[in-house]
Amino acid sequence: MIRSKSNMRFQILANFILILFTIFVITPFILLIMSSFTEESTLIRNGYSFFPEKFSLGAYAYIWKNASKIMRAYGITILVTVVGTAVNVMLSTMIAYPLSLEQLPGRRAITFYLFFTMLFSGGLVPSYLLYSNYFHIKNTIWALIVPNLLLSAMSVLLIRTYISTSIPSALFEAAKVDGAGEFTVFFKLVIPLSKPIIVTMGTFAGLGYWNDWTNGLYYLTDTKYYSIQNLLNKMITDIQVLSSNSSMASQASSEMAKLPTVGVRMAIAVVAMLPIFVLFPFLQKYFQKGIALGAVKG
Amino acid sequence: MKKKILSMLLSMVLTVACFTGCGSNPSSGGETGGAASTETPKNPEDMYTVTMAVIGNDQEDMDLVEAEMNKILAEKVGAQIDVITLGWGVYQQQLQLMLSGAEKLDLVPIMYNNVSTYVNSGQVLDMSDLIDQYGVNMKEALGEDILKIANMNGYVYGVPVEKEWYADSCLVMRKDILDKYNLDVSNVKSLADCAPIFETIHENEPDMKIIVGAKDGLIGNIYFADVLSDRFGVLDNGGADTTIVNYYETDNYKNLAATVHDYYEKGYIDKDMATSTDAGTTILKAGNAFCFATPYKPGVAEQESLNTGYELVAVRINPTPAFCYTNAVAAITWGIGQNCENPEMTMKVLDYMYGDPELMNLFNWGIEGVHYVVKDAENDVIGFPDGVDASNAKYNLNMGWELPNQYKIHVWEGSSRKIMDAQKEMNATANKSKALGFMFDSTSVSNEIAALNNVVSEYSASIDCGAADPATAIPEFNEKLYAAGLQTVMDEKQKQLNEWLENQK
Repeated sequence: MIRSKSNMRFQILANFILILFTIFVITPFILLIMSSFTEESTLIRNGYSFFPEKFSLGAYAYIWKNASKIMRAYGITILVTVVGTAVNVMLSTMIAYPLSLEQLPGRRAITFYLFFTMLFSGGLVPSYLLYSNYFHIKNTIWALIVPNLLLSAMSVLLIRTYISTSIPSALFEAAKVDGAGEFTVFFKLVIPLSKPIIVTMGTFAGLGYWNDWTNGLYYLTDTKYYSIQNLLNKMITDIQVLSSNSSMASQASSEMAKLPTVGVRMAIAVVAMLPIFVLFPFLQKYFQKGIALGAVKG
Repeated sequence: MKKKILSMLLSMVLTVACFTGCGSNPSSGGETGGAASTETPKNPEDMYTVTMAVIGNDQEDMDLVEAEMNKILAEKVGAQIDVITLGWGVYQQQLQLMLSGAEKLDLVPIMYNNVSTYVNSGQVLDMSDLIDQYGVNMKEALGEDILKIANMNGYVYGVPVEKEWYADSCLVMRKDILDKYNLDVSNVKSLADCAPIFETIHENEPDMKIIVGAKDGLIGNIYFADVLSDRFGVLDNGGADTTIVNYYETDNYKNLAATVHDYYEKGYIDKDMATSTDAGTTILKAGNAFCFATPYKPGVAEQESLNTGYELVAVRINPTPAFCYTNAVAAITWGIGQNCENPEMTMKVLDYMYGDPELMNLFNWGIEGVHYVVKDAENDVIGFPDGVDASNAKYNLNMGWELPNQYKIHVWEGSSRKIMDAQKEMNATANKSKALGFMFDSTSVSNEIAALNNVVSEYSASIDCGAADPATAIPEFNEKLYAAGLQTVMDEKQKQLNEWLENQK
C-alpha cells in the first residue's frame, strides 16, 4: 500500500483531531472517578481535582454500608434493561420483517403510521394520563419498561431496510418451497441473518433503558422501584431544589444535611457506569457493521 | 446457532415474565394489607381513605406508622390515611402530573410558587366553606386572620401551617474562631459592621474562607422585603409602606451590594460562591470556613451547630426588623386536590391533625420506643433509641415545619421547648406587613415575569457574591429589568394591591 504525501498529512491531522476529541470525552470521566476517591472534606474545600490531596475509600464504604438500597436499585436497572431490551428487539424485528415484504398489503400506510410517531408525539400530560389511568402502570415495574422505550420507530425502519436490502428475497421463497411456514422463515432465516442489526438496535435500546430516569420520575412515586439512575437523579435534583428555593432556606439546611455527600454521589455515578464500560467494547464491532448496513443502503 | 438465539430470547422473555410477576405482587399485597387494616375498626365500609402527599424523603417503616395512625383516625374521625412521600427534586413535576390526571389525591402540599398554576387551572378546591364548617382545631391553632390567608381573589386554596411566619436574617459564625481572636459580636448590627472581625480573621488565617454559601444566597438572605410573591416590585421596610418599589433599586440592596463587593475585593468571600451549589451548612461542615448567611429564627444557631458539628453563634444583621408577610405565612399550605372524592372527610382529617399531638408525633417522629425515645420528659425532648442514628433510622420524617401544628409535638434533641416557644412567640410579635394577606395574581403578566426571571439569573449571582462591580452592574441590571417589562409588572401589582387595600377597609 502506497501512501501519498497528502494522504499521510490527512492521516496525521485526522488522528490529531480524533485524539483531541477523545481527550475531551475521557477527561470528565477521569475527574469523576478521581473525585469519587477523594476525601470528602478535601472535596468541598478544594473542589474537584485530578490529583487529590487526600485519597479515601469513604464514599465506596458508604455505598457498601447502604448496599440494600443501592443494590436493589442496581438490580432493578439490570432487570429492566434485560427485559426491556429483549422485548424491544423482539417486537421491532417482528414488525420489521413483514414490512420488508413487497407483497404485504397496506405496507406504505403502516410504514407511514410508524414514521409519523417519529415526528409527532402526544406530549407529556396525555401520555401520563393514558399510562396511569388506562394502563395502570404507575408504581409498578412496567412503569420503567413500557413508556417511550419499548418500541422505537427508528429501529423498526432500520431493521426493515436491513432485511430488505441484505437478505435476498429468493431465500425466503426457497424456504417456502421447502415447506417452511412464515414463523419458520422468521425464526430460522430472518433472525439469524439480521444478527448485526439486531445487536446494534439492541445495544441502543439497552443503553436507553440503562440511562433512563424520566420514566421513573413521572410514573413512580414509590421509591421501591427506583432504578440506579432515578436514585442519582433524585439526589441531584433534591440538592438543586433545596439550595435554590429561598422561601424554605431556613428549613433546607437541615434537609440538606440528610443527603449523601458529593463523594458518594460521584461514587454512585461510577458504579452506574461500570457495566456499560465493560460491555461496550464487546458490542462495538456489531455497532459499526449494523449502522453502516442498515442506514447507508436505505 | 439459530436455535440458541431463539431459545435465549424466549427464555429471557419468560424470566422477565416471572420477575415482573414477583415484582408486582408485593404492591397488590400491600393494598390488600391496607384494606385488611381498614376492616379491623367497627364499621369498615364507611371509612374513607385520605391520600396525602408529603414532600420529603421516603421512610422505610411508613406502613407501620400508617397502621398506627389509622388506628387513631378510625376511632376519632372515622377515616383512614395513605401517605405518599415525594422527593424534593421531583415533587413539583409529580404533583403537577397527579393533579392533571384523574388520580386520587386528597391532601396536597402547596408551595407558594406553584399557587397560580393550581388555582387558575382549578386543580385544587376552594376550601372556604369547608373551613367554616369543619375548621375548628385549625382556627384555634392559626387564629382568625391567618386561617384564610392563602386565597387568591377570595378562592381559598389552602390552610397554612404553624412555622416561622416572619423574615429576619443572620450570619452564623464559628464560636471557636471568635473566641480565639477575642472578637466581640455584640455591636454588630449589619453586614458592614462585620468588617473588623473579618479583617482580623483574614490576617491571621489567610487560607480560611470567611463567607461561604450557595450561589444567590447572600444578599437575598440578608435583606428581606415583602416580595409580594416574586420580588418584581416589593414593599420596602417590611411592608410598612404600601408603594411598590423595585427591590434592585432600593438603598438597602445597593448598600449591601457595595459592602459585598468590597468584601469580595478584600478576599473575605469564597471565590467559588458564584457557582456553588453547596449550602453554607455543607461547606462549613467540611472545615476551613467561618460563617454563612441564613434566615434567622430563634434556635437557628443550635440547629446549625447540630448540622455542622461546630459551635455557632447567630448574629442578626437584617437592615429591617423582622416582619410577617404573605410569602412566609403561606410558604406552604395544605389544599384539597380536584379529584378528591370526599372533601368533607378530607377536611375533617386535616382539621384533626391541627388538634391532636399524638397523631402528629406518630406522623413526624414515628412510633415511640421504636423510632424515638423520650430523653428528657420534663422538657418533652426526644431522640433516637440506642443503636439508631440518622443514617440507619427506619422512620424519621422530621418535617415538622411542613406538617400542621409542629409546635404541639415533641421536640428533637438539639432544639428545646424554649426555642419552639420563642419561635411561636415571634410569630405573634413580629411587625405585620400592611400587605399581609394580599396575593398577587400574576396571570396577566406571566410573559413579563418569565423574561424578568431570565434577566435575574443573568445578573443576580455575580452581584450577589460581589464579583461584579455594583457601580456599573446594578444600573445595567435594572435597565435590562425595565426593558423586560418590570414597570408593567409593578403597575399591575400596585393596581391589585390598591384594590385589595380598599377592600380591607
